[in-house]
Amino acid sequence: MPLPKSILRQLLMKKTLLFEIGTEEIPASYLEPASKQMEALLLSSLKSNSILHGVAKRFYTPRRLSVVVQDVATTEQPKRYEIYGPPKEVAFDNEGNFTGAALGFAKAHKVDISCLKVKKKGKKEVICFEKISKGRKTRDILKEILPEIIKNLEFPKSMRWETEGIRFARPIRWIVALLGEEVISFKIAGVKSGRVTQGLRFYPSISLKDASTYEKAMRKAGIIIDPNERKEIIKRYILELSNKAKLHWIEDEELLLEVTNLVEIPRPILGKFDKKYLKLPKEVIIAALKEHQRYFALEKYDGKLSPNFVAVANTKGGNIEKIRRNNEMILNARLEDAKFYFDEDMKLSLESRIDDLKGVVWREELGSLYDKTIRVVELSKFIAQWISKVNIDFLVKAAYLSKTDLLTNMIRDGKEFTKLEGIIGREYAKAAGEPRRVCEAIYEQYLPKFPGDSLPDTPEGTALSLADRIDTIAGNSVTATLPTGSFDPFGIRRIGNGIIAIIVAKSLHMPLKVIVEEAIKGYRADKGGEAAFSFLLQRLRGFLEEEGVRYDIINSVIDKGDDFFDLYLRAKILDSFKEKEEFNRIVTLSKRVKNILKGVAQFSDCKPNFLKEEAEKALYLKVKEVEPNFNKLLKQRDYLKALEILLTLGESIDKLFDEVLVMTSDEKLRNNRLALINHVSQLFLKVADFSKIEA
Amino acid sequence: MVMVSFCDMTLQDIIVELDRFWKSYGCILLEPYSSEVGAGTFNPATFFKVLEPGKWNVAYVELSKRPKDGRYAKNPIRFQQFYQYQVILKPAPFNVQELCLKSIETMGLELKQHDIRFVEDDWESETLGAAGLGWELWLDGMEILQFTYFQQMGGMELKITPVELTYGIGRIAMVVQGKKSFFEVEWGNKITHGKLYKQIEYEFSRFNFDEANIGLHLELFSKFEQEAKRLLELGLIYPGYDYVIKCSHILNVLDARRAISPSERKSYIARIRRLSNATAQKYIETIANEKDPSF
Repeated sequence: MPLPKSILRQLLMKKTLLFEIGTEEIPASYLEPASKQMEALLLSSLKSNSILHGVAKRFYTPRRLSVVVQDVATTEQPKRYEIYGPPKEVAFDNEGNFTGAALGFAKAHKVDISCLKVKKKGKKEVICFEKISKGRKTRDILKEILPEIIKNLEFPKSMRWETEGIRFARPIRWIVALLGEEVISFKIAGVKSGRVTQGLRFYPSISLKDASTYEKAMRKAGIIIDPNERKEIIKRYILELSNKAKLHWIEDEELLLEVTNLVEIPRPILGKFDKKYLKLPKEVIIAALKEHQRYFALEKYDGKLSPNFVAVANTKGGNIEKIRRNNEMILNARLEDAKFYFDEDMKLSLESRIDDLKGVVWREELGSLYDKTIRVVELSKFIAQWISKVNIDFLVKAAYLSKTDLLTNMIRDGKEFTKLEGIIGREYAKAAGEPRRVCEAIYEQYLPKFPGDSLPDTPEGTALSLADRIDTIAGNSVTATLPTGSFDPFGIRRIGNGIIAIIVAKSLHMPLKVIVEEAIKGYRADKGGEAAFSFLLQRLRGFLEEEGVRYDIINSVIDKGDDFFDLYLRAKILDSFKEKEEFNRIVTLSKRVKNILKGVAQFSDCKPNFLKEEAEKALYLKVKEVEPNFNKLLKQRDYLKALEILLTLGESIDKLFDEVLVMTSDEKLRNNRLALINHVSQLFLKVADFSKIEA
Repeated sequence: MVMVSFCDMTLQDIIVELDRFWKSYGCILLEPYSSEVGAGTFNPATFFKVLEPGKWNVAYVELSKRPKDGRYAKNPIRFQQFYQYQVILKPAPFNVQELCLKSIETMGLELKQHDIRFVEDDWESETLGAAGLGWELWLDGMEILQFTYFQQMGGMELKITPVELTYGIGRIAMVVQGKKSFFEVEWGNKITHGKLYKQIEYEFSRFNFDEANIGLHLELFSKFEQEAKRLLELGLIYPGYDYVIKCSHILNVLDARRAISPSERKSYIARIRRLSNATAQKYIETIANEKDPSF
């Protein structure tokens, strides 16, 4: 049935929808995820209500979250449905004409009898006709949808502020809800929706005539509502200012994103702090600039820090000179504070702080930071056996000092500096004249901090990072707090991933089972080694999966010992080989060999004088011939060449199965043949368990 | 209202202007509390009153003592004691941000000329069992006010959300007077803050960091703790709370003196928190039995 004209006309009516939630300043990090949610919620609500629409755009500033949807139909899509009447046998007479009952049904619903049809309903056939509903007005539907979106937005932290008990990141102070020129009117948290939005603080509010004028009106007010545009503008400003000052911007994407979300109208300002603070460690100054003031640090072309910085103000007609002066004043005061911490900290050497680590609980059940330090000293020495070029004296020194910076004023009280653990340790060790590698190792114990982060560079830093991590995992195994589900409050997985990343990147061959047991001993525990080791195996598995290695290939090598780098190599080689014809051949051969051994409990050694048939003799000789070379290649971990050798056995293996009855009734011959096949099977297993490879 | 000209705005003028502003809003103007406190929030006019179900608007100056923040009078903006101007508005009015900014403009600052930002800073006092969401108010990058919507006090969820405005009047005065150090700020009658407080600042820094008698303070803490418990059990809530406050200050002195390790500090904080939570609980029980809970 074609759509009636009145409905068609309505369907063709399209308007722009604007939904803006005006708030008090929402925390910078909440904005992007909230905006995404808001758009997704709005679009899915439109969809589930069958409202057609065009392109959607989302915007935000600290004081607003908004979505604009173009070409929104003013009514929902018409719904077709059927109205059922009397059963077929009642509706028609014997000649097939409509009965009075059918005519009455048509009349009651004011439809022409030509519209009546017969349809199956359940087991019965009935007469019916199709009806098209006009569809509700989009306006009316939005009235219900929009408040629900507000209620359903989620934030990392939300608050109550009024008696209705609505929760939101910060109080909602205005709402714009327009479909074309029309206000979608509703009330939530004491706020009535309308057409009035706010400009920058201290500037007049803006009344929107039509939803489609929103972007233009905001631009006119000077507010950059598109976060990407805001970010690009800020970036350009910083580059302009730094180029002009012949300085280099130390790019910091995280800070750039935060600053983007702290302003509605960005105004960059080049400021300068007092040169005397340049004596402080560079990282300390940068932390003061970034963490507390959200300023961008600049350096000279030679890499030295410049006393210049870029602040991004939020102002339209502000007095830039005054704003710069105040910013410089506050920064100097902050740096003065850093200097105070630094000077105070210099009065006590890191070495003299070791004993004080006894007063810092690392983990309630696992003792103090002092206990951890002692364990890590021992474990890192143990691990150093498998890392080349470690200077044990440097390593031990670094391990002893590794946690002492946590006791300095800078880290304990310095608020914005507390994230500098490791860096402060390195800088203070430098100031105390410790060898460079000791200082670097103190810093490198925390590397990598996240996937893709840089890794320890010094051998000592490598040993220390591994020891600290393995100690933590062992400890958590002892207390049975290794993460199983998604709950991982101590970030233990990340710590484990770091171990794998280091081992792989540094090509370290080390017996992890032995090392983990050693770590468990450090806790004077006798259990936990196995769980810790299998946790690490899981991390390796995850690491390989991340690199795109097929899971069945991982399965085929994962139990081939505790040298993770070796397992990694095997997996990678098999994975690179998997598309080749030879790979299938190896898998087939290996499975063929293994299948016949199923259910056999014991094998003896193959005795050459019991070999009777040509084919088995041939296989035996072939194996004897290639075995020394095969073992040599295994030792060299040249698994690719080792596989090639196994392939050369292929013909002999096939021949044996074709020509020899293995499961003969003669027990002596049978056992000897099984022994030979088992021997061949063991060769395959030395590389990987190919039976785990899926076809 | 007489407008004071820009250069005349002394620190005492700022206090007078804030008093005038908030009085006209409908706040009762109270005086500082009698005990050492780390923040105006400890004052019973905040701690107890936000627990009550009714309306409460108050403003007062409070001397905030934070032993660890001393810098031997060498830092231009950090001190072990300084004056805050504290406002509690319960329930939080709809236009509270606007009111807050207007109150700052009464000091002769035209905020349009400046960079004004509300930067996320959720406030929490572990010892008071208090938590709230809000911001630091930045004026040209300088934090001049803490703005908090309390959600919890004494470990109790608050039924009516109050807003707390804590003005750093010293910082505001620095901007208004164009001074690089709080010590140079004129308090009134050509007398500077430095003249009034520099020596005090230095001596207390010496006391807090170097000279406070550790044994005595450790003993005081446990005695004050016992006394708080005893008084609370007797139902003497206000005197009991006084001893809770004292415990808090003693802990701050011990902390500045580096007399306790970070882990011990945590357990001390937990002890005070238990006391303040018990205080809040007792208070709520008491007012539930009264018809008129006001002072």
